[in-house]
Amino acid sequence: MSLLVGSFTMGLILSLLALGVLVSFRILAFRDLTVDGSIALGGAVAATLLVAGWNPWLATAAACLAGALAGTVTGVLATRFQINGLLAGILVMTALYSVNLRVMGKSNLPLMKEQTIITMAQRFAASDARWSFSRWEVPVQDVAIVAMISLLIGLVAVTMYAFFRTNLGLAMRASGDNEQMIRALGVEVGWMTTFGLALSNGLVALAGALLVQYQGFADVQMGIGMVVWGFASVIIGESLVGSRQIGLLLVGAVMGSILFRLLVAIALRWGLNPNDLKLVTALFVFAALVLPGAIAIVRKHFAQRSSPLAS
Amino acid sequence: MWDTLKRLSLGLALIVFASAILLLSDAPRRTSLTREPDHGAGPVPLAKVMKVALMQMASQPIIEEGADGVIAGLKEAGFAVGTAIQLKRFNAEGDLATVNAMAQELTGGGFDLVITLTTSALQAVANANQQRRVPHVFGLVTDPTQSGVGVGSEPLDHPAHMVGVGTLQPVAESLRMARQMNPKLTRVGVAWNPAEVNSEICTKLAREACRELKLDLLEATVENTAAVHEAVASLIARDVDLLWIGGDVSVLAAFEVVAKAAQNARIPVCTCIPGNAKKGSLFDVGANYFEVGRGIGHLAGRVLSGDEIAKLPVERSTPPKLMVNTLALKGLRDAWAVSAQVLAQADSVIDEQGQHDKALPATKASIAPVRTTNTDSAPLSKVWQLRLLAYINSPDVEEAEQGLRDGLKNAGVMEGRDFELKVANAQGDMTSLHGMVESALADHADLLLTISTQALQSAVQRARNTPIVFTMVANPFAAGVATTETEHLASVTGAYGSNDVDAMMPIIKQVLPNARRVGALYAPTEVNSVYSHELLVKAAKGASYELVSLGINSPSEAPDVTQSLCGQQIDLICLPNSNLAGSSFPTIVQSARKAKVPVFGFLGSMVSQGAVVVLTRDYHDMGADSGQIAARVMRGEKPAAIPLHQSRKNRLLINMAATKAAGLTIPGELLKRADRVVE
Amino acid sequence: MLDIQQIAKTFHAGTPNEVRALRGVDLKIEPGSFVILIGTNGSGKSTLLNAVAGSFLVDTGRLKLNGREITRWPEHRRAQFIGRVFQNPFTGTAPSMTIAENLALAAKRGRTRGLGWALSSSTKNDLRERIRAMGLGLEDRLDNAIGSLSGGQRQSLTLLMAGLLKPDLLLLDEHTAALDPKSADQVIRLTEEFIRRDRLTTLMVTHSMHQAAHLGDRLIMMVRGRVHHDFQGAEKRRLTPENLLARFEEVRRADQLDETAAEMLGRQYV
Repeated sequence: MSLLVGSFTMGLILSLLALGVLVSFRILAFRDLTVDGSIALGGAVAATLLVAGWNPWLATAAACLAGALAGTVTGVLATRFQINGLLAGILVMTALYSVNLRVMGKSNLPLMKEQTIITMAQRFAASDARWSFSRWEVPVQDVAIVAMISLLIGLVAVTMYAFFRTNLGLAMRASGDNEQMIRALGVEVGWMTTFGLALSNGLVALAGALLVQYQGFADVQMGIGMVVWGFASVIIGESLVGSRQIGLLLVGAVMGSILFRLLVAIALRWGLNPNDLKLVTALFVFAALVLPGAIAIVRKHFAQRSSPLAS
Repeated sequence: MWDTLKRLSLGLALIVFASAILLLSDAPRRTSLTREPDHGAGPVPLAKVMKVALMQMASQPIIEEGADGVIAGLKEAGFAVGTAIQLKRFNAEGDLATVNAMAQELTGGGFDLVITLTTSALQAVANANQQRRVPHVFGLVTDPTQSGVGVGSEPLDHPAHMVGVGTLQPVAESLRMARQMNPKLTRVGVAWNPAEVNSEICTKLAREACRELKLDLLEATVENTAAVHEAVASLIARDVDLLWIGGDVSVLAAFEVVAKAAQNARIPVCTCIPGNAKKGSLFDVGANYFEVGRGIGHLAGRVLSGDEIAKLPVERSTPPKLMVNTLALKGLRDAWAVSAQVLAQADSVIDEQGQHDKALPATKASIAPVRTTNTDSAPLSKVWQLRLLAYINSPDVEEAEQGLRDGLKNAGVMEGRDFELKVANAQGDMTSLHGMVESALADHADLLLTISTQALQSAVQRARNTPIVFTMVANPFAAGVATTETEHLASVTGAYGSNDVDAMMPIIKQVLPNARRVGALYAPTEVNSVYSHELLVKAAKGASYELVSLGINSPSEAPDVTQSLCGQQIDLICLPNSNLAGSSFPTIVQSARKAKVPVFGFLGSMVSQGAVVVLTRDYHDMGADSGQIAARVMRGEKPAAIPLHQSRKNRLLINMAATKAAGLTIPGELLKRADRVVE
Repeated sequence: MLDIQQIAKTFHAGTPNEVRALRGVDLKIEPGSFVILIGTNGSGKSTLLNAVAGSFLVDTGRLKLNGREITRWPEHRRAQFIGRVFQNPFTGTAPSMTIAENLALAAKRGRTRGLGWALSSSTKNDLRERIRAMGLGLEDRLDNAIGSLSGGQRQSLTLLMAGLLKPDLLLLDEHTAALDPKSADQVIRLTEEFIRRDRLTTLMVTHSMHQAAHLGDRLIMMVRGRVHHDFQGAEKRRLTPENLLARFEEVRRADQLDETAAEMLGRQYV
């Protein structure tokens, strides 16, 4: 059962990554590759500050701000210097590699004894306390961690939901949806894109900060390939909820991320050949890309049957 | 609202479904596998059972030794655990917050006696016990008076509910012994961290002892482990005859640095903490913590049998333990000698016996205990579930895996009969690594075997109680699992080793006697590469080469960076290990060949790809060492008690074609030593 | 009100694709007037509209709106004074957002957008009434994505959005050209209604001679990036679609003459 709880925790932490990608990829329609760099940046900043003895919440918030700064740089490159969005992201991602090394001072920073958000959550339970549910049991500390993370993710998701219903949030969504229209309504799309990328990368860096605290070390290479998981989660989530409504998109991204980690856990649990791991994860992503179509067809089918008047 | 729920239903259903599958695959063994705790429950006693708590700060070997001693001492005093008393053990695992929480629990009633080991445990319990005054016996404390709990300097001057044993490091004895080994000794150097209370006490004692022995004590202070190198260098520059270390944790953490510096200056090192002789100190005089523990046990026995605590004295005793390393005598500047009397007195002696690698002194001694312990091949009491976790695929990883299997086999544990081994490889993806660990734990692994640093770190983070044996880790100290070979995380042990750059230097000298400038390429983003490079920097400095280093960040940079390196009048390239250098070696060697610069490397695969000389760490051998260690764990030893093992076995590989292409000749002597010569 | 002084714009200057879209246009528009712009393809009528809206900056000349010099202002800054409806019904609305959200966006045209709720219940009720007044039956579908509506419905909403905050200048760029005749009539009806009700200063480009003859109080005919004829007052009121067509025929013949003459000269001198 702790395997299940562990997968949920990991899925929830990485759902911040998915939410960040959702903002850039779906809401701003900006394919932002800064993500690989900013998740490691979040981790590096959080780890360094934790080692320096900062309060874990402050360190995590600082990591989030650092990510937002990275996103701002990408946004400025893309909108003010008119660099292609993909290229701007790659540039910043590449630069962040060195920045992260500078921040940590070395390429790997263990957090074995530092107080972190995770240890704060663990403090709610005794180290050997366990809960049993008929045949399963789980350390209470693990439950405390997953509860704390859920709370955090819930808070972030609700805040995002609220934000996207304000005048500013609406303008940001419109910037990604119809640039010409929102410009004609007096919004500077470049600024809006920059601000959105800051928000997106801030979320990603937050994921990095939590990940580092959960896994107990920061590694400069931890961001490699992360953006793919982000895309996969967003796409799985979209196909699950079958809607572009903002609230559903947010929940979908979180569910997609959790489901993705669960599938990986099941694959691992069933003891697949270690050499096939990458293939299986690629299959998941493939399924996520193909499923939306399949699910849409199924939905349509049912919709037609239940309300023949529609269409 | 209803529509929203409907839209979420598919996702929720899938998540519930996936969770159910996961739970079901997790369930079947759950019922059959409720493990008994290691201690506590024993035979049901007849008379009134006294409840005793034994609290320790962490899982360091010396504390474990002390705790074993306490239990032995209690038994000798008539209070055998399980019959006369019920003993509950507490271990804070180094976490101060936990110490305090435990102290609250211990003094909250329910225990007739609390025994604490180490100063922090004493302080925490004394603090929590101010009101309740539960009987309290303490030990493994350097100086109880200085710990601020109300114990005075007179034996009977202590609170009425509290008594214990103080154990000072035998500072004077160690200095006296040094004097005995070299009567001409006059200048002793000590590096210490003023922030450590214990270290301060030792240094004060050393000042007194030196005054008495008419020795000059030269001091250099450090703030942290990073500053040790400089401090020791300054002491050597001030021409000390001996480096002495008391109980300083910062300096001991960097013991290798001290030993290396001393070796270069051809002076010996001695310490007050047993165990460092294995790492190159001439001798260690320290407390025998098992004996200390026995004394504490005896004292606790008297309290349990009703003696009035206020009338019991606070004892201060140091049963000595001596460890001598005669190998360290070699090549010393001054005339140091270990008398037969000292040898007879010593609890353990390290000498040349069993050594098989002449190029590398002080090696076999540390290998010996690992390799010789368990030769019996009796079946184990249960079939262990072993899970091997690797981070990447590479020939070296495969060699290490084979080594692990061979090591287990040689130690007499059989696959199928004694253990089942399943292998998982994350193929370079860190998040999968995490899932692999989770999966192994859910699978009720009894022991995790890890290959590479990342695998180790992931395992350490998630596996709380499952022991871990690692291999193929260059630097477990930088990885955060250990501070010294003996002080490491309680459930973790294993074998490590990085490039033997020191051994490479003489080889370079033999092949290229006139070389002055050495070029190096390293990957600043890889922990191991940075560490290997640091070693190379030191070694090159020691061998008085000028080192020109360039960083390399991606395989595509390799040709350009190599060319620019070759353009700096270097005589050769020495490549410290990195994943990058490994994968882009063909382009590196090509660029180097154009510039007629020979390449020396540390990775086995490089020799066939055009390196002139390769001195590779034998990963099979390192794996085998870890396999042996794993077998010891399976036979019941606690990982905490097994020191980390540095693998030092090398294989020398030479490429004759590359040698000719570079216009070099390999001396016959070196050729003879080569394990493999590629034509 | 709107003062256009000698503006010129050349696209792809210095390349074989060079197009001199505006060659010095002078135009003054009085407040409250409803000006129709017509012209042949490539005559520069849409370019003129875009130059006023700020889709690009003009090469030479000046633009003044309400006495403010707006020549160098970017598009989004001009939006505070200008409402627009585009030819393509998809350009004027954000398809994945709801009707209410689109209107809420328009309700803040050119103003600071803060963290206040975009759709408070009072705003929403207000918007619902505005939509009900259009008589399209969309007032109960406020929470539907706008992408699910027909082109005519979307164009009507775009019109509503452009006029939601009364603009100083309304720009209509062939806004019925892409619609079926029935929807086009409906949109034109709404256009007239809005303009009359709010006395909006309007600049409308159209292809339809019928619309050109019957709408507005002034008509500008553009040819080759210049104002060719300006029908005002009684002259405009007398115009019929037939007159206009005859005018166009004249222009076309003049063009041909020019072309043949140029061809002849070319043959003689090259």
